[in-house]
Amino acid sequence: MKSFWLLFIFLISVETGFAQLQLEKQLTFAESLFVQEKYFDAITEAKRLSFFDITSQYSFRVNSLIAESYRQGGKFSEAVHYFTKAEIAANNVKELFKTKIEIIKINILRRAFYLVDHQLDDMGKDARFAADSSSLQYWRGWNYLFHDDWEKAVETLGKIDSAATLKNICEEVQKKKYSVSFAKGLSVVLPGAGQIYTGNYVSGVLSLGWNVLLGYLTVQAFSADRAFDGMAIGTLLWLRFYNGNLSNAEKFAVEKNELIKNETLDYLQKNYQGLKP
Amino acid sequence: MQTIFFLSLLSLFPSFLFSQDSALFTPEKRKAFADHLFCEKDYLRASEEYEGLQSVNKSDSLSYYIGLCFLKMNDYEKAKDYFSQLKNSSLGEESRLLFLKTSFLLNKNIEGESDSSSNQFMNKELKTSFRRLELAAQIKAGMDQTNPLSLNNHFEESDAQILKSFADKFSHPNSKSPFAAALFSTLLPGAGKIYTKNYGDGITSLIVTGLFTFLWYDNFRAGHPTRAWIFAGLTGFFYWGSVYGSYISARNYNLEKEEELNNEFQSYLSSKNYFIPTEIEGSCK
Repeated sequence: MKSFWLLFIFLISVETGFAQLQLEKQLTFAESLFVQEKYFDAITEAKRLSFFDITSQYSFRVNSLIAESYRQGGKFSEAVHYFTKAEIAANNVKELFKTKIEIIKINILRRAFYLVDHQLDDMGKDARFAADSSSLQYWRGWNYLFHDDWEKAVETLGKIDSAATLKNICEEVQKKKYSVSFAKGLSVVLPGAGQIYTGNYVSGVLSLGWNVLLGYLTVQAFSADRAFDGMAIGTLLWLRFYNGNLSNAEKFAVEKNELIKNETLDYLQKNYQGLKP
Repeated sequence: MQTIFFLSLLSLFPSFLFSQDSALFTPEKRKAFADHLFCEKDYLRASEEYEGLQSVNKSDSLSYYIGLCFLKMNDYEKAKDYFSQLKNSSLGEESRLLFLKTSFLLNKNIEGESDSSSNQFMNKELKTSFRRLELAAQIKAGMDQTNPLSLNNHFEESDAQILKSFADKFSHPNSKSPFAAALFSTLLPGAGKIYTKNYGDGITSLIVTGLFTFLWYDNFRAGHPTRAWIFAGLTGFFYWGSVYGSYISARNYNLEKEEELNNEFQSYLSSKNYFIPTEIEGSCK
């Protein structure tokens, strides 16, 4: 009888061990697919593991792997969904912090500024993450950077010594950017000047030419006592071109700023060596 | 010594059970995993799993589920192919019904699809669904012969009423004639646009054409022929622009109304799941 029980226990333990081994193998397989950048297959195999992992012992690792694969594939909503699952399955504070930061990074990429701000505030208030305040500050800086608020990005990143390079890049961008109100103001005083300020010389000169010509025709019509003609040319043509000049000045400044921002983000994505979303 | 040898042999046994590919990739486990993916609405992966199983062991049920996956992914052409292959199988009735649905969603004329052989059903519920979907297709095609009595016989009273109203809208669409719109604008600039309910553009056309006509006349009267000719050109440009614009406006109006009606009808049918019992589209607990 005793040997029967011994045999039974032995068989159970061997079988459990092998089942465990299969799950471990499957995880290695899914991770290898991820390394090979086969994200679709990595997700399939990780989901297979998750389905057969009845005790949920791999839950954190599997959900993190699925989320990371989705992120690499640009599927941010799905990535956040699985990072949230990983967050629930986190085994310790370190894993919890890591997952929360991953969610924040995706939300930064999704330009969900206010959500990230709120999430960082919540983490800042959590005593478990008290030692990681500089990391939170760092991601807040990135959030400002993606939100096109370079001034606040400089201010936030300036508080962290390790983020000096990033801070300098932000300062450079701040200097390069055009003032939209200044461009518009210039065009109010002298049509076309705002466009010239933003580097659109041809458009600026053309705008000045049209305004001078139509202004002249309007004034001439009024001086020849053709008030109706003057009104028609003035309102239908001159005013239209003058307003167009103002919106052009604004549009060009905004476009240039957008270009500077995108070039900077592109540069950071390709060349920045530090942590990035 | 004997016992140790026996135990060692036994310990090798599970390793055969769980050898390399078998443990998580047995057909049963793959099927369970595919069903799980289907229920999780991960149809692309589910279809891949079903197709993988299909290549090992072909079955009607697997083809049916692959068809369902494509249907759910809005890949109607592929779904139609799968359901078409199953018309005479054990899942023939369900497949014929879903084949009709995919044809409907592909905006194909379903007259040819619903021939007498595919209209034979043992299951009364599926037969009703089939007939209902056929009638819906007839309504969408704007067929005048959609018999109101037939609608009353096959639908609940409230649905029959709604469908009658759709049938009326499809067979007598509220359209505007592009030629009438152009003619109206020829007589009075902008009138054609007002006829197509494009009020803002119509009034602007009238004012602008009127203004340039006045400037043309005024400059001739004041002895400025060059300016007068410029304004005459502008008047002509805006006048013919208004005529052509009214023609286009009527065409856009008709397209917009047609799309609106189609969307409304599609949304109604979607809320009714195209009169198809939900159980046949894969049941998930």
